[in-house]
Amino acid sequence: MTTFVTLLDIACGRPIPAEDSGRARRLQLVVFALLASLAFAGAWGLAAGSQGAGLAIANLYKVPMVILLSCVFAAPAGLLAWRLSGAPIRGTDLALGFTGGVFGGTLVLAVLAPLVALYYQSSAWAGPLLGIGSVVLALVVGTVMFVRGTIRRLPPGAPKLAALLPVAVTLGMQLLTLLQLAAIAAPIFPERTPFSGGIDHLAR
Amino acid sequence: MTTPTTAPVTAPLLHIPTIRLATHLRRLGAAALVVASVLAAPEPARAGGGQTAGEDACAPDADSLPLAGAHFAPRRVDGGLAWDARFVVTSDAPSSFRGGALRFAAPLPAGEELVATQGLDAIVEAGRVAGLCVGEGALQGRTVSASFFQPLSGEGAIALGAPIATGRTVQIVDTSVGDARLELTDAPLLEKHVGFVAPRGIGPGAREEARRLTGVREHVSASPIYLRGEDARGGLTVRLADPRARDHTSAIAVGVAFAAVVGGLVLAARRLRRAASVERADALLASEIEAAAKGSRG
Repeated sequence: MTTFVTLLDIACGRPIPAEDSGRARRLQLVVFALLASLAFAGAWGLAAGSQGAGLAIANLYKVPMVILLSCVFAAPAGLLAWRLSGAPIRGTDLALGFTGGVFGGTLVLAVLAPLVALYYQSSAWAGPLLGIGSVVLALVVGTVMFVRGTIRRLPPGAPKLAALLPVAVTLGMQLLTLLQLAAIAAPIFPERTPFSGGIDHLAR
Repeated sequence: MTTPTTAPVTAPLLHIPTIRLATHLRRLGAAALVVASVLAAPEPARAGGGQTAGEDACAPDADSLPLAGAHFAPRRVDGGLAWDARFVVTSDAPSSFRGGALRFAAPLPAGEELVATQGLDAIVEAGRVAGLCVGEGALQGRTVSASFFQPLSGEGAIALGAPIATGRTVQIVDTSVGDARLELTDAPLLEKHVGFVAPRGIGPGAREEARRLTGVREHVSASPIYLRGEDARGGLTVRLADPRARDHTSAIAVGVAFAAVVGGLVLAARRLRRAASVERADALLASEIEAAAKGSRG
């Protein structure tokens, strides 16, 4: 529970307590944030596919897979941008900000999961809208948390622009990978969505 | 209607039935002569069209269709592919066109046939469609439209069933078939570029001109084939690539990667547990010592 509260604090951009600022503890928080995100994403996947048992079970691993792999694919680009830009921030702070954003975004998905499931069961049009809407909201919340968390951990007087470059690169990479991973994992929703066909479908 | 000389004017009422009978007989005779002449004429190798393309359309001395561009779009139908072909003639052709022949660069694959179209007949050679007899009536504005049915059986490489016309006119073959896509398997003359396939000799200007003539819009994801008749002389083979099958393979790879990452995370969490708890305990102890030192000073 302590770790969960600490992760929530980190996601909110609060300063990391002194006892949690060691390197191993920070890495442990990064790992915990990712593992917790998998559980949250699985809960939302279950709700989004709740119209059929097969889709619901498949979503239990498909949605976490899409989110985790998009993080894994985006992280190297973000770290390279951090190194090359000379951003005045610790690498683990950047990693904590990123995983804090993912944690916050997937937490939004998890708390909206009951609503998504309820509307999928009871409405023909509101369910899909709510499903896609919850994804958009989670992306916005995750982005805001990542940016805010990174800026708040900057040393006083450090230029914000240099710190935002690795953030922007990481977010861009994650969005691009999310788009194609979601297409590979489709169907996640019972309906065909604009994102089911990936970039080819969007560009058509 | 009737010939006045065949009936005396003096007895009109009595002779009217006789006159009508003679007229009908004459018409029947003329019709029989026409049928006999058609039956007796040498049979050209034509097939398919619901109506003949015109008497001289495919005569040996007939003009060939003055082609400016062509566009071929495949679509899935029961049992195979339907090819919707649009041949665009040169701007001066419609005023002088009286029918002509359109030869294909290579005979269409065995079993492919012309869907019956008014004013069009298939030229069949050795059992395969090798061209079209285009009647005057088949030209709509500057366009001749035709549809072909290519039967498909099973998976694997198939012959490209687009009726590519012979000559140097740049023609466009769409490769999207619903969600699936036609991919060239063996075409050394054609180079794959981003968004299109074309031989080296067809530049951006020629592609743009071909699109303008045929009214084809450019799409990033369409990946059409631009080619001339000479590029398809030996026939081309394609494979119908289903993106779902490709996605299935990708999904397996992604699933394996996912399992590996999750395993790595769990392993990392276990390894970090001890080090993190030691770090945390040290930090707590340090803060307690610091607090105690502050208290003793105070």
